[in-house]
Amino acid sequence: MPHRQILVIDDENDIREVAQLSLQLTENWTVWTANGGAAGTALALSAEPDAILLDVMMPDMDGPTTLRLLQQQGGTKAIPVIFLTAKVQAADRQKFMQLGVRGIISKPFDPLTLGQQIRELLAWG
Amino acid sequence: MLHKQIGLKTVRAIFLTVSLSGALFLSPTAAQALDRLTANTQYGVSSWLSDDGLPQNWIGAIAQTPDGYLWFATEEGVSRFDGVRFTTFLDRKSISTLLVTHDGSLWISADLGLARYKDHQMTSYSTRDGLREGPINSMSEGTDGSIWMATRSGLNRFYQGKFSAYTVTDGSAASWIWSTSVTTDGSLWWGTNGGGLKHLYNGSVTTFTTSDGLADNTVFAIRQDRKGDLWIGTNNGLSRMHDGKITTIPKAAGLTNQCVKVIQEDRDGNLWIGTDGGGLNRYSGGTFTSFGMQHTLSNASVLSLLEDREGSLWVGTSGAGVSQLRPSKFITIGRSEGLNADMVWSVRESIDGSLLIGTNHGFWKWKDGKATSLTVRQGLSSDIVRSVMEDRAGGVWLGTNDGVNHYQHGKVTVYRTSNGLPNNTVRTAIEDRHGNIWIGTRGGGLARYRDGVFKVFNSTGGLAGDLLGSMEEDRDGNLWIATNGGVSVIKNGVITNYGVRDGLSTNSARVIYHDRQDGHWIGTYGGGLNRIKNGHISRILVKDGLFDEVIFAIVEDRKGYLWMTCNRGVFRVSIRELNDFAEGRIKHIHSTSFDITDGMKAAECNGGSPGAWEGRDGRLFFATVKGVAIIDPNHIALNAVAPPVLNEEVLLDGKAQGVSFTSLVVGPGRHSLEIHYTALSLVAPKKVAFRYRLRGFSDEWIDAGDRRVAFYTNLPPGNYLFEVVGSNNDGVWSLVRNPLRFRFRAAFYQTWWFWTACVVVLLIIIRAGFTMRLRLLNESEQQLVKRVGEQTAELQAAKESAEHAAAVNERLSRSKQLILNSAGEGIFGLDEDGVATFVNPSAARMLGWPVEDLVGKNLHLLIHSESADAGLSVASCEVCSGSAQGMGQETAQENGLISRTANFRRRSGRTFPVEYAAGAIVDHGDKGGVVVTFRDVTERRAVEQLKSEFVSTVSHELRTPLTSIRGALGLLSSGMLGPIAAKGHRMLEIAVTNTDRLVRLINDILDLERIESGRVELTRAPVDAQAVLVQATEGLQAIAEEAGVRIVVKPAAGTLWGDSDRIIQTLTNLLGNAIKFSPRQTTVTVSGRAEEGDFVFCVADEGRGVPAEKLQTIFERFSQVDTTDSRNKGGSGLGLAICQSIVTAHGGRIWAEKNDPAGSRFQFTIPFANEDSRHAA
Repeated sequence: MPHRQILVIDDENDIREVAQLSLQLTENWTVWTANGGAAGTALALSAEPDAILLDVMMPDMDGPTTLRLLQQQGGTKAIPVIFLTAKVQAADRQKFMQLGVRGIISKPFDPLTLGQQIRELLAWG
Repeated sequence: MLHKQIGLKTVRAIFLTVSLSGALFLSPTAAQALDRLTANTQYGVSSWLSDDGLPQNWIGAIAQTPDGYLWFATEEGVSRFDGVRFTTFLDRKSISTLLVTHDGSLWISADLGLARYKDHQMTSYSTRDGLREGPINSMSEGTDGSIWMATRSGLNRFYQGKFSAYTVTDGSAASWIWSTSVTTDGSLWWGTNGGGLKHLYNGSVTTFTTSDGLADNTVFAIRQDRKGDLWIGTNNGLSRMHDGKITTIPKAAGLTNQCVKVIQEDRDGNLWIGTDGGGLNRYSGGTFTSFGMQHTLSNASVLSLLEDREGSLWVGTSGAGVSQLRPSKFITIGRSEGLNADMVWSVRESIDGSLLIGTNHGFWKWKDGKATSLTVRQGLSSDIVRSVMEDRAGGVWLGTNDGVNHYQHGKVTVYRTSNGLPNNTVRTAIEDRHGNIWIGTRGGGLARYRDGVFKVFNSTGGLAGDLLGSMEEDRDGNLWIATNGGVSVIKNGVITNYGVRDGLSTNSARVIYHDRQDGHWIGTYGGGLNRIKNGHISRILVKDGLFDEVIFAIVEDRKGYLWMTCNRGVFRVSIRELNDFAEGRIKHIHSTSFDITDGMKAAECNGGSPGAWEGRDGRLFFATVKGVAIIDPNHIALNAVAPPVLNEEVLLDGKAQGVSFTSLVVGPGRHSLEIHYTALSLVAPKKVAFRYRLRGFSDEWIDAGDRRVAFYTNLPPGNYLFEVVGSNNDGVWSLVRNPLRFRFRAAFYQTWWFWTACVVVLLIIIRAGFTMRLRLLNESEQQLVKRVGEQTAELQAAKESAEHAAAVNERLSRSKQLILNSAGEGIFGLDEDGVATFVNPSAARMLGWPVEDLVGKNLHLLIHSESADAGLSVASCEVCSGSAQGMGQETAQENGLISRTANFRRRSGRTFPVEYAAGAIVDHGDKGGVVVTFRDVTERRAVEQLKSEFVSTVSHELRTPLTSIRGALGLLSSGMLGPIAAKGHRMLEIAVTNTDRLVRLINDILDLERIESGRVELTRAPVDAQAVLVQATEGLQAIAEEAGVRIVVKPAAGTLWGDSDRIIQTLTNLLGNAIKFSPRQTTVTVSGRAEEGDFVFCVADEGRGVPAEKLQTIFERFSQVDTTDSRNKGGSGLGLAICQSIVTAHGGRIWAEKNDPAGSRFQFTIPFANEDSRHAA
């Protein structure tokens, strides 16, 4: 299995930490983190992760805006993005999927299967 | 029989050669020693006075303990020194002498007694313990552990904890004793005050006096050298005893003062003699060398000497503090060596082997230790000689600020602008392979001198710049010129320039060097080093590891290093590394720098031409502000002694804890930890570097540089090991010694079990808080519902009264008016054209008009103005016609009265939401207009909106911390973060399960809220009853199997009008409940049937059933049959409430009843899609 790099963008420090630790422990992936959309898009450009886990509700720049930026940036538009969201209503999900994300993982997530969920969404072996 | 009287048997023991020299720790390393071939002036010297931290400037004794500390005895206490800091013990006590014994104890003789210091403990002895009164002048130790002390009242001995005295009567001819010494044969020697030298051997005491050849009968110092000879320092000369015979060194040998206070032999066999007023003398090869007139050590009174384990000699004086003589990597030709100048600009080796030196005080030639000068007196144009060049004919070209001087055969010829030179400020000169002399100036470019004619090359002619730094011819005969505008290369008369545009780091090129592998190196002013190779330029800067970016001179040694000079000293970098860097193979280079600590007299170098030179013997010469610094790169004396690293103090929350604990146990709470450590390399303490780590916290070493303290704050509970290592000035690292152990105990609130309990409590609190809020909301909503009910009833009553009023209008006009006036709801009557026939005061108030202004007006146009309804005719207006058709905004339909919502317009033009009821006035079968009753629901809408937002926000806000909690708990319980005890694991499981439940609860609340607030609109379509039954059942099959419950689906047929997802959700909920509350081996039956025009779904189980009294309330929120259910069965308590909401929204109803023979039956109705489907069922 190839070594994967994931970028987690979430304004909540604790959630970033948990996600980072769980992906490191369960999948042995390299996990980059950013605390907001601005930092996330910049980091995505330099770190070139294999996928981005993006929080929807963030104070400075929300998930959809960040996603748009990532999609506009030449170096990041090919990186698959998965939304991480506390919004679980079907209507929201449908709306998000239309923005072009590869999947949605709802909060709270199970740290032991987070990596598996990502792999399944992205069809990683 | 003297020997018997003084206790022969014990004295016979073999004595160690121990004195205050600390000779125990000498380990000869030839490379690092005070070489006897080196002049005294070439040692690196540092001095410390009271201003530098010494308690006082009288240094009576120096000792080094095995841990590496130096100790100085002063009149104000004994001072411990680690190379940087002095720490004084026995403050204000006069210390006469020191002794380090084989067990590592430091014995300190103070004016009032004797103290022993070991392992941070001080033990003192006084006359009460048997110690003789008065100061001790000297101490020596024997292998039997006895300590011999020289006092003014005889010899004292400390043995096995007891003091005993030996005086004249015991055979000691004089009672005043200055010195003691123990020689390799185990015998004891002592020097008396006027009574000569005494020797105790095999129980016999022998006395040696002037009659035996001794220089004087007062003996201050006794020292055996490595050959076995005994050196005796007396009040009037130095004597040597060889094979029992004493000879006195003649005064003519050159000892600067005949009163010898102290003698020390170094590891090279040099004998160091400290005199009273004559300073320090070195005796080797039969001659004495002093320090010359200007040196502190040339006239001081030397009281104490010690060679430390790194080979430095420490010199304690009377009044002049302490000095250190360090082995030096450099030797210097400067003022002390006869060069009458400090500032050296340029240096090169001549064809005849002499050194040619350009200084601020003329040109100097140094040969065989002698310096001769050429200055303006001899015709030189200026004394400031910036460049020195020797041509093949033996002529020397000297560049000054006033032209260039040619000097040969004692004759000086000066060339200036008048002779064709472009500028008189000459900075550099070379001779090319064709014999042309090239003169580089500062401002006028370059001039080639051939056959008496100067030809000028400058920027107008294509040169990169006119301010020249240096020139160099490469192997192919190309001339490279460093200028202020970059580098110019003259090849076959064609000039090629390199500048910033070509990749050079700066245009301020200073110096050119061509290495042996054809690399062209450009030293710049501020731009570091550049390499030009095959036309490609690479830059090497400080960030890449270069020591400095100002480079004055470059020279190559024979080991593959480039040596460069700068204002901060000399540094070298491996050429291989530089090339690897330039070619991208490595990211960083390493510079090794040299300065005063390595023996340079000054670190600052000068940028004359040439500023550095490689001699034919491989030695390198550097022009500095204090002479010519010379190093032999092939024989650099390295300090191979790894420094002992010691923990000096541990501060816990600012309080000193000492360092002698085996493990420091720290109580619960937040603490700051500060660890002070030191490394005892005394050659160049400023170049000592440290690394430390706190194992248990991190295994990574922290590079501390020269910082001698480590800080930690807020350490979590646990066991820690603090390790620190240090390196000496030459990068030799120590091993970890004496790590410090710490145990930070956990407070009860720092334990995992407490934390887990906290999480559980937190979750309970969150849930309780949430439940409470929800109940509050629930209650307020119920109140609202109740009020709406009341108002609906009121509406109805009003409507009835209105109808009645219409019917008996004329007869009962007065009572009608009374009723209308007293109604809280707005009531108005309209005729077929929408004109108001009557308006009650409440209606008028809400619409913002006086009653009289409204009666007779077209109210239909007035209240619907600017809305879609206003364009409708009165007949098609739902409000004003009293018709109730379509599926519109119907909210309730009870007892035949249709209650609807609409927006009415006030007089101000603003609209407001209303709930209204409209009824046709029917008089004898004729329609006689309508009566409309309405009420303003603005406030209620606002409350609903607020509630909805609140629930949604709270749910999201709760979910965020829950995500962290759930994640953290999940990782903990997975065991991936470390093993957890079984009970702890169980607790974590509980926490995880309950977090999950809390999440479900929040999801359900959100769901319920959305359905009830109408924000989730049902997407109604024809639904196949059988299909939804099957779909719901399939979803729960797995859970049912796990629970051992069988699900039976009975066939049902019918097409319903509803939202299939929501119907499935309802069925799933009911089925899930049924499975949850069913014992194993029972059956849950799902069925559907037509009944009373509706389709009825039925979920029946054989479980414990719902008690009769709970059948009604079970659909309420958080209603559970058993209050423990929600915990045991993991439900949110909202499932049935959601079901009820969904069913109600479909216009159906839901109820529970007892099943036969056991269990419950939950049923709900959903309307059919149309009449046909109803019949089909």
